[in-house]
Amino acid sequence: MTAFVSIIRVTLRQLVGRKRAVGFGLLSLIPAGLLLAASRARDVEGIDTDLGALVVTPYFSVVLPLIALIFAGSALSDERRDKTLSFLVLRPIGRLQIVVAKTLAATAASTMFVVVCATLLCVSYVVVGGEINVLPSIVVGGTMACVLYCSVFVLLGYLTTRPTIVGLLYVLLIENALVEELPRISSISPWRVGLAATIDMMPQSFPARAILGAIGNLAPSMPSALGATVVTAVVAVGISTILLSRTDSV
Amino acid sequence: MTELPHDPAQVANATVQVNAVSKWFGTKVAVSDLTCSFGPGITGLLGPNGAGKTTLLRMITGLMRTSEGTVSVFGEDPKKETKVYRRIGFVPEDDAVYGFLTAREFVRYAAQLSKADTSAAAVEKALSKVNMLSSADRPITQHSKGMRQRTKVAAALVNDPDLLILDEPLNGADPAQRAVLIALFHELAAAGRTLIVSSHVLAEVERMTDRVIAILDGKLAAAGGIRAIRSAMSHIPHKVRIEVDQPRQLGKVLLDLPAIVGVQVQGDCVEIETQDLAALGSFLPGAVRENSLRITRFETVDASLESVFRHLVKDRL
Repeated sequence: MTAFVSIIRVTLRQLVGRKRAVGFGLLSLIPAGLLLAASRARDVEGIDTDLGALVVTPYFSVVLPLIALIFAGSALSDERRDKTLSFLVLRPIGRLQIVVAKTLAATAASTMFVVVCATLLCVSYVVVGGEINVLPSIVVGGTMACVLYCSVFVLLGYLTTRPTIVGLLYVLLIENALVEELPRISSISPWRVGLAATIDMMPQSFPARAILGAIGNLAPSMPSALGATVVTAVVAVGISTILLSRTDSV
Repeated sequence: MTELPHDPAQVANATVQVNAVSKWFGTKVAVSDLTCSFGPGITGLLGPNGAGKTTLLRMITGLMRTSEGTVSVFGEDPKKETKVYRRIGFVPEDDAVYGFLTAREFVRYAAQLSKADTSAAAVEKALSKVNMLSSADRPITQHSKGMRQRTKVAAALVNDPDLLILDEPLNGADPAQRAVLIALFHELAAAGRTLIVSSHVLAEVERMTDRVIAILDGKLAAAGGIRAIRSAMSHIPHKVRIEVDQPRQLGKVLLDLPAIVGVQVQGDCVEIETQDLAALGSFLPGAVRENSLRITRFETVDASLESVFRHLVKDRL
């Protein structure tokens, strides 16, 4: 097994402990549970509206940032807290490999729960009369948002000893309050970028127009979202690598 | 600094060269203009807590940048050339272990990261060197401090390093474990490896090596053989505390003894500074008899390593 794969494997074990698995598992049930509860007195069109609303809140704007924030923020900051960073960096491997492995591990862990959450939501949508074809778009958009959050929050985990608090403040104050007021800065909101891709990929039959307002001034475009994701991830990973190389790793 | 011939801080075939290195954190100077080198065999890095040993070791490993000066390991700057880490094993002072892994998994992970032999046999060999095979499959969180220490040593050995840097490696180890580790360090040194072992306990270092680099307040306090350092320390007065029924009388009598440097009476105690502990020992019984004194307690107040080094450093200021 290569050093790169080993870092991913050990980081996944480090990140996904039993408590987190149970906690995030329960969190993943919330959107599906809400849809089932809301569906009781609805017709099919009403169910579409409910799914749209639940995809925005809580799936994209609450569950996804929370999971990604905790996993990604811990990926490097736990190594600093536990003093194991020296174990990792005093090796014949490049800092870029370490950062990419950490980011991939955090993304994989986050995506796993986000996909479970999306799947449960879509299964409950099918149960109340919808179609399963909405699942790929929600999964792809969610995965993109996970990549965005993880690449930025891994960096945050290196810069601060309290990445979860700083990240939560960002999500609550900047993403969910400031961007709401200033839609022209929607591009700094990772979940909106992911949602833009989801809206673009939704099947024609689904009334995705109803949730267009949630993405502010972003275009509902999968290629644009992908471009933003790639650029942000590359820049964040680059900055993390430079910091890991040029600062004291203790 | 103690004057010793041929700059005892330097060795001819240096594996690690530290040149005029300084490190400061804001206004606090942790290491100041330190020049020394380390070669095959064991070198003790000695100094009291907070002397700058860990900072120096971190700069040698490349974990920390120098504020001034240069460090080279096998002729390379470890901060720039990560390939030198194939030849380095590092045991940090901190409990730098992944608690959720077993000792075996931890050592295997170290081998994978070092691009070394990751076979079960190689991992087993490293664990057996530190007597950890019997506990190798328990999560590290269940290990004692001494076991975690030995696991870290096994992880540092798994890539068969030419340079082993050990920061307070005997911390938490019981006497039997210490003996195992010290024997292992001797074995590695005999095989031509370079070992840098930091400690704040002189006796501990003395069991491992004769060559010592002693630092205090980030400065080089002494370097060379333990004997040379001990002899440099010989002019430092010993301090003795005696609890006696007539402290003033004893103090007065002792002042007549030429080897006595100072006498201080504090309550029931007399604190004595002497250059010659043996002379004091032979003088005291007669003085007690003649003056009808009753001594209830006699103790040598062991001069701490810090005070010894401070004395050595004072000589060069």
